[in-house]
Amino acid sequence: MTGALKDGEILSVEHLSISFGGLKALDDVSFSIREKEIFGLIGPNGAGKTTVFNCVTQFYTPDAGAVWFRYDPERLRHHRRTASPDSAGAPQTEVIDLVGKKTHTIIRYGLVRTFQNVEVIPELSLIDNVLIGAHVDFRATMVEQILRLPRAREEEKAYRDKALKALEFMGLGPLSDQLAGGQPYGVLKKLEMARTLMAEPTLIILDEPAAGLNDNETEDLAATIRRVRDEYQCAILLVEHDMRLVMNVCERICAISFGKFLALGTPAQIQQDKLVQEAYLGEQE
Amino acid sequence: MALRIVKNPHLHFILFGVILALLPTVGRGMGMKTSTLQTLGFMLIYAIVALGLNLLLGYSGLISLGTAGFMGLGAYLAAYFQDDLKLGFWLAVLAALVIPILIGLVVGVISLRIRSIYLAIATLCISEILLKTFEQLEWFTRGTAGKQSRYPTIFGAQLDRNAVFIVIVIALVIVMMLTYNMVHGQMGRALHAMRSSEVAAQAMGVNILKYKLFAFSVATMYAGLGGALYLFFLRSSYPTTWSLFMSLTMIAVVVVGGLRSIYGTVLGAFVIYAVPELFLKKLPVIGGIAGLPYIFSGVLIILVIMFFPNGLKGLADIARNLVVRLRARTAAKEVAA
Amino acid sequence: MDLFVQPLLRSLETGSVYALAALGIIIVWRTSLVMHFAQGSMGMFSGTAVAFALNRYGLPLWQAVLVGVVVAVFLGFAVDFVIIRRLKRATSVGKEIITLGLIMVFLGLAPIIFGTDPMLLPKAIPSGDFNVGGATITYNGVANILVGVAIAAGLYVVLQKTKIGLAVRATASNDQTARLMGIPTRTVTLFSWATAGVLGMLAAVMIAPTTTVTPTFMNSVQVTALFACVLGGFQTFYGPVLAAYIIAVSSNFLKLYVSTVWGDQIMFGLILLFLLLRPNGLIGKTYMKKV
Repeated sequence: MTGALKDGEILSVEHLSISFGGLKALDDVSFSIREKEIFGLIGPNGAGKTTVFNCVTQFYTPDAGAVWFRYDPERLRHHRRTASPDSAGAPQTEVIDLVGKKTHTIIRYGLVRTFQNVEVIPELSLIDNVLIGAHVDFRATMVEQILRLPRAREEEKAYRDKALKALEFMGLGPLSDQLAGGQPYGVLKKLEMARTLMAEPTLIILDEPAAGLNDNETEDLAATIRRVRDEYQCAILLVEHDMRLVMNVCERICAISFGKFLALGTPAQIQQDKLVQEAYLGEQE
Repeated sequence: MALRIVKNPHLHFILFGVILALLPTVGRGMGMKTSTLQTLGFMLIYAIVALGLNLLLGYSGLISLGTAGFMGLGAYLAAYFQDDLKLGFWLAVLAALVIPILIGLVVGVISLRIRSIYLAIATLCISEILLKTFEQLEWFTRGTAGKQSRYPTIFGAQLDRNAVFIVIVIALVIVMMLTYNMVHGQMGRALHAMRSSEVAAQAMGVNILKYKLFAFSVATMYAGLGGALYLFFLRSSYPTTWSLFMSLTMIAVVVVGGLRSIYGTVLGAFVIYAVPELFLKKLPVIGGIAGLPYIFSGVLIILVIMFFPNGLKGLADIARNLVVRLRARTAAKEVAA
Repeated sequence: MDLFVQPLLRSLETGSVYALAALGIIIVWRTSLVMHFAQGSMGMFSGTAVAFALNRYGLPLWQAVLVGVVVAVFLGFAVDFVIIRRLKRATSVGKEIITLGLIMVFLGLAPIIFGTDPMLLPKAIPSGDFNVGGATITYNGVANILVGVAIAAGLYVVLQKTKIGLAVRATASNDQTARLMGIPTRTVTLFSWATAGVLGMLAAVMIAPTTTVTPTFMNSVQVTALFACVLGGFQTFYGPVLAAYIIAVSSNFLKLYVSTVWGDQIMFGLILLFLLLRPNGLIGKTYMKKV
């Protein structure tokens, strides 16, 4: 079913609808994201932004619609601990509809998210928090881990090195052995980003990353988002309230309001769009 | 390298075990009574069982009220395999480990799909069913008359009371090491993630049902092991031992010792089991009251949850956290600079 | 001996006991969001107080029951006032563990206060039988059934038709909103614990004549009442009552026709299987979304 995505697209949301107790939270929303693109999803409060990506990441199962996603079958084979066939030539990708997949399996396709109110584990060190991002990559079985057999120890060491690199990339290297509890908010945000990088994602969804940050930190965040995309060659979907950040870093933007699609285009196009202006002005008054 | 050895937690567990194992010999020299050794042995068995329950309660927030049932099952299986089938110590232990897990898995799969509190109710029910079985299934348990057993023979050596005590210590050390491994590394991080936020854990690829089942299986396995050791140490088993009260006592051990703390659990077993046996019962006037240990455990549970949610271990943590916070602040400044 | 009507009548008698105990659990669940594992032990404690007043001080049964009501209300108030309402920060698991701790406290206290000798509690109506289609039922049995049904129906009316009921239901559905609307949620919670205590005491007084009053005589009532709540679903008040009677009837018939010893155990197994098919119980609303 590779026809569902155009060449160069990584994710396509098609005719997504969901209602809660008779209330339509999303009504026929469609958009698609290209590979290595920084894409923004905006809308006034209660527009359904969070619902969209909860549907994408399968925290909710939409009533109707599809979420097509391009992935590398090789990485799935790795997670399922099956041997890969001898495939010669160019890397092949496949396309799958994520709807109905179990929530915890989504990350295996290369799709990772962050949380609006940072979800890190206060009792663990920064590096251990980052290592959770590699949870699905471990191939050692439970028994091997409990008995600390060689494969479990080797993996632990290898991923620990990788996690340290991710932390250093985010500028948190010196803090790696400290507990996450009690760290400033800005550090926790970066920590969450570092954790997503562990999964070598092809698409990262950031849920309101600018929330709770001051102007300087938001500037810094914009730079970080670009750096992540350039270094890790992944697409980034930004679900955001902060207009300056979105207009600053996004290449294309999709605007929704009251669960309905409004407009899609470059930041400049979106700023000029009548429907978008109405939706936002209407809210501000 | 030397520092690494000093800091190796597994070596600490072994050292802890060596000290415990010396108790019978050293204790006798210092005039320790046989009954005291008996109490300490049971205390260590409580610690083994509670460690499994701590994994369950501490990381998945699930309550099991079936601990006593699974312990009893372990005890009767051990007796049946050792004394009736004459299959020897190792097969008896294996049976006491494996069969409770199988029953636990069935119960867990049914109840955990629904709602987490249902595990408590389902295990309470299984425990009642098992208790009834212990009373009725005479060919297996000898009913209310009680099943009699003997000290086991390991590798051709006939054990005595002190030797069984050392077997219990070895089992405890192994259980502590395995538990430590479970809560560190990839699995430990997944358990921590699940406890911290099930939603975030799922986004990171943690299969919540799988880890809850895992925690519950470990709890039933340790309970089965504890039951077998109980039988080998006491050389008998009566249905009345495996009542709801035993399950509640184990929860008290976990809560008082501190959730997610390995040494805390041993300390909890000391407070909940050994303190009433060794001290409370010897107090003048109130020492003779039959219900005293019940009230002691019950009141401690309530007080700890109300005022010290992290148990005994929490008191130590408060001090440690202060130091860590201070260090974190200085390091954060370095990053900023 | 009739082999259908007779056991049916017996079952309705015990069903009333389970229904009262289950109602107590549900009321606490709906107002405090706590699974009340100590319902049986608290019922045991105040029920033992009734037996004690009767055996030791020779009070007539109705006066002894009044003593029981006072003890039950006092215990309910005390538990909420001293412990539960101070636990705003504790998780629901923490609160449930507290009720487990309460079991131990009451289990330990009962013999200290009331002595260790098992006591007997007579039937409310000592003798007399009705004849129903070849089966007999004691006057006392009829009284038990009537009390059970009347209290369940009475609670239903109070909860659905009165202002008090509205306050309880509002607290049950959303504690915070209810408080903002001026409903004294603390008082509602306080009285729900007391009501649960009285219901547990009544259940104890009704089951006591069939057994002896010991610290563990309410254990099976507690387990069955919990199962009635699970089977009936936690969303309504009448679901668990209905389930209590269903459980009592099926338990009796399983014991009679399948196995005297294992009847209850088979039934517990069946309930677990049923929950696999209908996780929210008989009356439970499903929140499952369409896929």
